[in-house]
Amino acid sequence: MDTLRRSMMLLSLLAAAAFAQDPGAATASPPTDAPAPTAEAPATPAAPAPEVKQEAAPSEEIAGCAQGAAHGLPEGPVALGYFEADLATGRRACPRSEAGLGGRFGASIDTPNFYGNLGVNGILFGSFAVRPDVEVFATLEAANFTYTVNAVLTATQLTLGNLTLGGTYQVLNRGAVLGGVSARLLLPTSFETPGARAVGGELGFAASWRPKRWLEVHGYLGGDVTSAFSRANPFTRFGGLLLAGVQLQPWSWFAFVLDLTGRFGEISYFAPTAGLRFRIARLGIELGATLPLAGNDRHDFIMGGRFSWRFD
Amino acid sequence: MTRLVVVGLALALAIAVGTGCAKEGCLGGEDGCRVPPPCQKVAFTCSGGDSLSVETITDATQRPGGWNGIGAKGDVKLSNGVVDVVIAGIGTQTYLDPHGGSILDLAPAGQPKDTVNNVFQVVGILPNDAAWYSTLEIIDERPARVAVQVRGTLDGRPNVPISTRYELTPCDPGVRVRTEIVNGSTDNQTWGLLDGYYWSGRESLPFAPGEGEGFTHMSFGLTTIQKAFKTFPYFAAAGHSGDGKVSAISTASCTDPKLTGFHSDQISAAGLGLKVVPPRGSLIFERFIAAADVRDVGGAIDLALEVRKQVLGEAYVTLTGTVERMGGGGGFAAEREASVLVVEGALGGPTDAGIPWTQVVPKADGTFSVRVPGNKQYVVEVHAFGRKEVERQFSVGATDQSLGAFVLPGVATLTATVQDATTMMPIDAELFVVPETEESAAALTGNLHGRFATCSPWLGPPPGASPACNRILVRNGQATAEVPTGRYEVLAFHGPFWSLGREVVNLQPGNTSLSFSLTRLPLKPAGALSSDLHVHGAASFDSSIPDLDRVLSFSASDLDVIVATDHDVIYDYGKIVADLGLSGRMSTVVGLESTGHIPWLKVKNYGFPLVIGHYNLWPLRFDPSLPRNGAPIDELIEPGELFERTKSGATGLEVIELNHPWAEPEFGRDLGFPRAIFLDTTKDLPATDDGSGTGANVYIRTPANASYANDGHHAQEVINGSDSSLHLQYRAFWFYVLNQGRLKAGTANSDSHSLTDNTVGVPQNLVFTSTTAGPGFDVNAFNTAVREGRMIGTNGPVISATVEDATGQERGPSLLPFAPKADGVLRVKVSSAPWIPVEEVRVVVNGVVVKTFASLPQPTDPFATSGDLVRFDGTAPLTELLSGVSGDAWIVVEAGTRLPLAADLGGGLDLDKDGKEDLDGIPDTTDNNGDGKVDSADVTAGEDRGPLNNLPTPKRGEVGYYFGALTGGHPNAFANPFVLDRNGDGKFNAPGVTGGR
Repeated sequence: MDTLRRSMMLLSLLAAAAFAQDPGAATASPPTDAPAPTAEAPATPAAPAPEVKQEAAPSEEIAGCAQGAAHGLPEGPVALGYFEADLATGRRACPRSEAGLGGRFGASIDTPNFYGNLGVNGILFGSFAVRPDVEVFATLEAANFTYTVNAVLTATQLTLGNLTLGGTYQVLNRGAVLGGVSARLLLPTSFETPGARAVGGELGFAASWRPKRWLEVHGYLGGDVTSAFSRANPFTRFGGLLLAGVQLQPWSWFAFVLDLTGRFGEISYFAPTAGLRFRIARLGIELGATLPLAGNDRHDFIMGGRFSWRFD
Repeated sequence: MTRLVVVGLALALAIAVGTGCAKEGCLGGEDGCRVPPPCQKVAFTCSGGDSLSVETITDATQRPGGWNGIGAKGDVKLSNGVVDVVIAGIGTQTYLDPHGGSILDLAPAGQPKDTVNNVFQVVGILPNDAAWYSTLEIIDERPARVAVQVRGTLDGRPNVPISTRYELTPCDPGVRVRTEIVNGSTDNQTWGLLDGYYWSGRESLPFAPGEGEGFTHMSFGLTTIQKAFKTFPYFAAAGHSGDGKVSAISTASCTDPKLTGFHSDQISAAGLGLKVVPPRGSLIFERFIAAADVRDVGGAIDLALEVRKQVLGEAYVTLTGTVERMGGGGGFAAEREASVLVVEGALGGPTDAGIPWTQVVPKADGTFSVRVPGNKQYVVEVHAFGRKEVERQFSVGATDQSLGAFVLPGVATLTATVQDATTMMPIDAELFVVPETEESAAALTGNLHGRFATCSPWLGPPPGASPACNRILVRNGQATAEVPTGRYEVLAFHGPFWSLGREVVNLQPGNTSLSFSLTRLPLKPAGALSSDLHVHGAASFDSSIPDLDRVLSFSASDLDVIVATDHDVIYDYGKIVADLGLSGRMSTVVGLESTGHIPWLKVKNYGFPLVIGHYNLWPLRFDPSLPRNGAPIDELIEPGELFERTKSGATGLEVIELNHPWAEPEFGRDLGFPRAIFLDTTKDLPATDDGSGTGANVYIRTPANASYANDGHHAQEVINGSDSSLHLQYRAFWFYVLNQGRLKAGTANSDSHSLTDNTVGVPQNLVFTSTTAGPGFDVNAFNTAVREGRMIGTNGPVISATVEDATGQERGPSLLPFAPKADGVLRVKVSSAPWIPVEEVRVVVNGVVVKTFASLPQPTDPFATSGDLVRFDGTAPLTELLSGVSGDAWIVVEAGTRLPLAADLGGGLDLDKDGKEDLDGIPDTTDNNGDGKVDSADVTAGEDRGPLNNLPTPKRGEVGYYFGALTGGHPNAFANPFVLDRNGDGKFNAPGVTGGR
């Protein structure tokens, strides 16, 4: 446990240091061309004026993160992943401040091999746009319920689940084209694994192209590593995720999202994910479902729902 | 960007620091790792204590003795002068252990008392939940310890490493064990890290404290096994062979207050409870498995309580007492005479509310001593002859306590002599003690603390030595046994071709002597050898009958030839036969019953893996220095490959027999190959395997690495067991394969595992061969006759049948086709002993009974020693029998009691997916409501077919009562077929499922 504590402290300190406000950050960061707030895109928190390196969009046009944004409506890829908390899950390119809760239900039913697994996660999540181009975020599986079947033997478990902490730094904001680098840490909070506490991290790049107010094309490319503080082999595993998706938003209160995800690594899959998004003022609702069509992942499907309240 | 790089590096560094540190034991998977010494809180002391040893077995003499001692070349034996433990060498597949590394033997050191079949590690019930060890390392750290460390993975799951260390330190009365497993897969798992203890049903009985438990455990099947999981502080088990070659074991956790698992007479599991184990999760289980040189579980439980005291600080107290017998007489030589059960609870309380904590068999002088947890109220029960005779209540404090004397009722001593009425020479025989009335039977009914068979009277554990259940073996004309007082009929039996002796006696305390003279009846045809081709003894994992009693039972049934067919071990009774002076008239053949344990085989449209069932193979080379005494590994292969593997060990012309082809599966393991693969006997077999994987194709295909087809056996059982249960199914399958032109000899075997489950030689085969039993026995000649079907199968009636061939020669039953005389007749004569009535004679042609000679005259005096033994003598013209049949045909003659009305209501695969299993042509349901038809009204509620019941045995006073009392069944016999090459083309052309009609 000393090792565990030392590692935890080291992780926390380094992560905090990396994301701490830094006067040089503004100059080091690429330019943004965030538009003036509109009725559908309220003003972002005050932030230092970015250095302008390209022509700003005409003032009557909406561009960048505000293009197509409807205030409480979730954006980016559907936040529904296959791994701990939100690890290896597509991330949006635009920072925002919000808090929410959600649930995820996944089922793996492999009858020929007499295997079954049902997982239910009660999730708390939030993000805070430290600056227009920087966001920190967290996802906690506040309750993890697992039911597994091995032939006719079953077991259940209810524990505190995994926690990820991360941040996004928007590195690209050129009109309709947006991009952000994000990093996430999987912290060893979960009690679900006997003799081990899972840890991990992920580095990814999220991109968004918003040519129309009603259309967003988004993508995500990430690489991750997971391991464990464990008395046993930690089974350190690397993986990558490539996601491309589109959001159609016919109305400001509704959007439909379809993502295609390819996962490679020890667990692999190719999976479409569909999502329905709604907003009621600052309240955002996202309903999603995904199922792997290829690869070795054993999920039959994962479905989830999230409610978020936007603050910025 | 810089900060992101920093984050990445920080992450990598943190993970490297946090996850790269030294791992516990072998959980890290490093080469050269060591599982830590188990049970470090536990220590025992003794005088001496310097006799630690570890050796790789190279010779059979190193094998620990006892009926379950199976350690062999390549296995590793640890000893400390207190216990011996043998760990299977890598590659030594044994029972449910797929690849070695399990405990094969555990016994008091130097004592021939191993009662352990196999202790192995599993995490669930599927084949790939078992540990598959690939490396074995001997750890010799004398004088501190000797150990064996085995490492591997779950079977077929290379990403789930598992390691186990077995260790002895000086003075340990058992083996310390630690197992480590880690989930290296990417899936959540349901695991219970457990030791599996394979008892088998007729050997050690598990005992675990629990409300209403002790020796009693809830029944369960594969689909209901989870409900059987319970927690218990320890558990123990003791053998019941009844000959002194028994010991007991117990298991207690070295870390936790409870074990979790389940118990049955077949198998126990004890370890960690079922839990979700996500990827990277690991489990560690440490336990102490003790062995005690005792005849009860109490001695082993004493050790488990000592372990708990050292691990948990839990105190125990010692109870002492004395058992006496009213009127004195006899000692307490065995558990049948006195067994003390200590149950937490109060007198008069519900029987299922008490918590049995231990059980002890008094010493010969009646004294006993046993440990129990202190500060409880106990009821101490003393059982004798399977019945609770005395019980008293005690409040036990924190100190040792004397319980005083318990006085049991007096018993009678029965002495019997049996002789040949003609020669006046003493003979071996078997006595059946039967209460004179139904009322007295109820009062004498007993069992061993609710386990094994219930008998009236209960003279000893049914699976063990004589006396067992209500049977007493007579050796060389003499037998003595203690029997509860009462009025009995005592029946003296010497096989179905002898008269039956009977005496009625009122047994009271003291000695009673009986004499029997039995007469050899002129029934056994000249040139025929009485042969039982399927018997088990204590060498089998599911038999406790000692060798001496086993061989004595062969002689008691007046058998000539016996094939040793112990499960998964080759065995040889030759030495015991010689020791008993029987070599001059009896021959035993070294053989094997291969027994599938690990399901693997898949057939089309059925999701569960299967085993291939049981096959007998003989004659084989017996080499006790080898694993399984030289038997091949019989798991994960199809029958054809099994036959191939066995070929190299054959010592003569081999016979392969398909056993009980349609028997019910046990614990998910099929006992008969055709039933396992859902063979549909309503359809003809394909000429060649089309590769579709259907049951029919699997049945006839020749597997890779084999020159035999899967149906390459030479014979199959048509009758199995003294009560002929499931005969209708075996018979239907035999008729099917005969109709397919795949001619197999039909056999009738006892499949006896004890004196009581089936009587050796009932049924048996009368094999017509030129050789004779005893010196000069020619196994090749004998096997040739068996393979050619020159035999009848019978539990009593003797069928003599002939058909004239084209040259006018009388032909007996045989699989060799011949052209019959055009106007020939079938001649049949059936004879039997006076106590074996024959109700009818049937003639079967191509699977259909075409003629029945019914209502045959019945013998009036079952104990007659002379008179007419012929029950039927008649003929039937072939033209009449073959009417309506075109092409070649086969004829089988049957005799005995009428067969029950039965039909096929289902049982095949649900190929049309309508939720109802399809018909497979094999009867599965009898007319159980007696309305003259077989339909759903005959089926047990909640089932879709069955049961298939025998006709009720006759009641006292009815004809055939004594046969039923001895066998539980009805007279039944068949002759092997006459195979008629009617078109004279020199071969038999299969009539197919239509029977040529």
